[in-house]
Amino acid sequence: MVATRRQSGRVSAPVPEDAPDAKDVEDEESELSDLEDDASMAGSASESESDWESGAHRKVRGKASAKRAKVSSKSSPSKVQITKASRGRRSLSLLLTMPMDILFEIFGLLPPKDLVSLSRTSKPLRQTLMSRNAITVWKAARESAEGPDPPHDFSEPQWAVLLFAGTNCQVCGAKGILNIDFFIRRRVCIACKKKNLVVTSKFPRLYPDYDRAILDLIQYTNVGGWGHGIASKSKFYWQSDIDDMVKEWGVFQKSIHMRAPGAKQKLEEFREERIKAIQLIVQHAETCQKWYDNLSRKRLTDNQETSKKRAEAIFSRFREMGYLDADIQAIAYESQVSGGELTERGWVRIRPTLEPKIQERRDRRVAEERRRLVKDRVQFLKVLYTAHLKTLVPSQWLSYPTVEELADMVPVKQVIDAASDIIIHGESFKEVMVSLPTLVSAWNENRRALLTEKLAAVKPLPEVPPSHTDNLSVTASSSASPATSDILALATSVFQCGTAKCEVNNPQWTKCQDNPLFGWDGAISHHCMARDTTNSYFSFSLRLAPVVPSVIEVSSKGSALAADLVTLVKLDPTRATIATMDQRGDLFLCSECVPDKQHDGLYGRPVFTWRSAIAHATAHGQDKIISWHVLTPSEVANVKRSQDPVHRDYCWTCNHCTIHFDAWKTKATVLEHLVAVHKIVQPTEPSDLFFIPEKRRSRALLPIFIERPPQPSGRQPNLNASSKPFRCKRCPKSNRLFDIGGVQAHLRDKHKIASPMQGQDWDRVVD
Amino acid sequence: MVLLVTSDNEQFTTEKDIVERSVLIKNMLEDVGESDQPIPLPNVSSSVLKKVLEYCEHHRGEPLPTADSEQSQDETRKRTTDISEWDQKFITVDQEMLFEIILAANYLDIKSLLDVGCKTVANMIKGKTPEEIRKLFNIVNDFTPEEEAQIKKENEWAEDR
Repeated sequence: MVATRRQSGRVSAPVPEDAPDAKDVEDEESELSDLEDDASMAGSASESESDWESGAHRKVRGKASAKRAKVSSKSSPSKVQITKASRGRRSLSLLLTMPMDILFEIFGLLPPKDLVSLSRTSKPLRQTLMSRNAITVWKAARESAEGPDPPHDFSEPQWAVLLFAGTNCQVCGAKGILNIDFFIRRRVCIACKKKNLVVTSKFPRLYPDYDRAILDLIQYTNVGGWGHGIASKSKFYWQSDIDDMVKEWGVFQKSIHMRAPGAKQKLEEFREERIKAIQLIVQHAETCQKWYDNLSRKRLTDNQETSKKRAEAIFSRFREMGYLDADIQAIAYESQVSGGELTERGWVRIRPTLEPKIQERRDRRVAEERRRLVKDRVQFLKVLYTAHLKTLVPSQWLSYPTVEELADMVPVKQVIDAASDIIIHGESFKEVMVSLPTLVSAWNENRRALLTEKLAAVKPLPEVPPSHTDNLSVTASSSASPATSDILALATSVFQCGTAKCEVNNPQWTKCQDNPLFGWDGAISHHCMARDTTNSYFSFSLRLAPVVPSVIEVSSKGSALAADLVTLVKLDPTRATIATMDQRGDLFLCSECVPDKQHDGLYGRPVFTWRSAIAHATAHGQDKIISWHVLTPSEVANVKRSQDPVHRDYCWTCNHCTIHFDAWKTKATVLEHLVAVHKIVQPTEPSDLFFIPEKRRSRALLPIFIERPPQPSGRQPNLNASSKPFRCKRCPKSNRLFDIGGVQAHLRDKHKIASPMQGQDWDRVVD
Repeated sequence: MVLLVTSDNEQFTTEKDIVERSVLIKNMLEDVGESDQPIPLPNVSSSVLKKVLEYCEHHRGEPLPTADSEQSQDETRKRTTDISEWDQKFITVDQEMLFEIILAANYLDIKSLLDVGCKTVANMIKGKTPEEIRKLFNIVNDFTPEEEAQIKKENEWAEDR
């Protein structure tokens, strides 16, 4: 029973080890001296109820009696002064000096967990809380926490410890053990369960001297430490419970052996009593388990609810700061967002972590919105631009930029890059479209000047313009060709793509940079394309997007190869034009290709046009020097009769209508179209139809096979006997012959000449 | 007006409806009737009485808890440790003053003030480990290590069974 308010008792207060001298203690204690006697008495009474070890007990009593000896001087005139002086010095616990009824008033406000903590602080508080008077406090605390009644063999405090006093394993102290096994009445971790639980089947091996029936007297659980390997209905017993029962059982057995009167009956009574107790334990445990399951569910729901409120509180704070929900979603799954109630301190702590993530999402969103806006604007331009292109003669298309290149031109870019709040639509490009011919003309002039400049940097401009450049031009360029730019019409003006990541022609798995671009038409018809990485995480779903601006470089190797081929057909490399070479229609054999039987049953080596020969050279490696053999006119006619790769390519268009705009066809299809639509039975190139070299290039490597190996002749390279036609001039006494790679390697290794010169270091001795 | 004399002989003159929040004084005044005689409060010092009167003045006019209402509110009151904002500010004092206010409220029988004091102490204890409670209230750990280990196993609860 809790003492009434005016009949206060007081727990005995122990003196701390670092307590001031006896006089100070006495003076402080004398402050409430009128209650001292009662308190001491109450303390003594409570001590008498407890069963503390006598040593500790005496210690407390000894200090208390010393205190009481001085209490008699309560009428000392210095009392008030001493009291004032002692204020602020808390060498003794003021809590322990409180009257018993006030202490119980405080205890009554505490949940079970705190009562347990308080009972573990010191002996006086433990004695007070363990006294019979405190039962109501424990009971009220448990009921307030909605805990179930304790089992018949548990005290309220013992029950409170099991239910509420932390989540540590009662054996090893491991943290976070939420589940209580109410059947064995323990809160233990899995590891301790594995160590301490004994399954029924193992009992005979562990306790060979005892009857298995003893297990009927011990509480058990069906949940062992192992997740598998043992039947789910198995009974598990805590080993120390078995040990205790074995001891108790042994006492009864001993009495029976000693023939003590009524020993057998006592054992039987004990057995019956235990069996009933086990039944009660099982029933109680089932009730408790239900309570615990409900509690767990409630906790989970409460936690989710709290977490939700916390998240909403955090979101609304960011909303107040001006962030949009779409950006705030960036932190929706951050660990700091879930948890307990959001405090001001917590907010200050988590904000610096969360805000940058929201800002990053916002920046990304704004950039993405802008990108889409620009894309939409370009789309408006594209519609207008495509309509304009369809008003032109198809052969003019080549000299027009792509829509992306157009969008990159300054006047157009100004419209497209206008602020996001300005509405841009088709009408906004009206002025641009009016000035389009001027813009395109200037753009072409710039490119032409740039390409000419690049070519001039690697070879001198021709002194006299080629005589038939304009007549033989494959395509009719929209812009006039000034004399200085005729260099772009030469067969030796070979370019290549300079954009490292350009993937034009990637379907053939060739490097774009290896494909030669012939002259002005080849250069302007190439538009660099690369994978668009701005809008997808997955490379396989990426589309090719135009690279602006396209980069075109001079192909030194291509130019050199072209010069070789031009020379081979007895033309002047400084004057021969692309048109001349195309018109001649020479075919070439590659000395490096070995005659072989191919899949279609033909035997022989591929033959190449002058264009495809240059593209083919890269197949043998960048540094490989290839010697070519020109087919005779009769051989050419023979081959052309059987195969013409260009005709099979989807690179042809009608030059009288725009039906093939961005939908190139084979030559046969276009010829049929010319007959059917335009009634042209004998069309001519390029006035009636023409092909886009850029599109054709992808098939440039298709080989043309001859039916038998070429026979050695005066003009053909002797690929068998003269596969090693070169001799080292640095070894005059040697008759050793090399192939071109061999002689170069020999000169490099033996004579240390890194860049050997023909005529000076090596020479061809066999044609 | 009522004249109060503290344990350190300081006199306080206060209004009747303020001082009557103390059931002790209220009963005393009812027993004695109208009188100019000072009321001695030998268990209350002037500094504590000053705080107590501050509390009574703030809560003057509020209905005093009756025996019935006390009983009906008992259960809810017991478990709620919420304290109003003003009371919280009022009770934010050093530990010694806090316990003296509690003792004075107990002595003067001012139930609401006693509640505020006890709730404050309970709030101080809540959620703390034994060691933190010891540190907070300057309690000496007088358990031997063996006793402490034994306590953690909680095997000696037999006395209350």
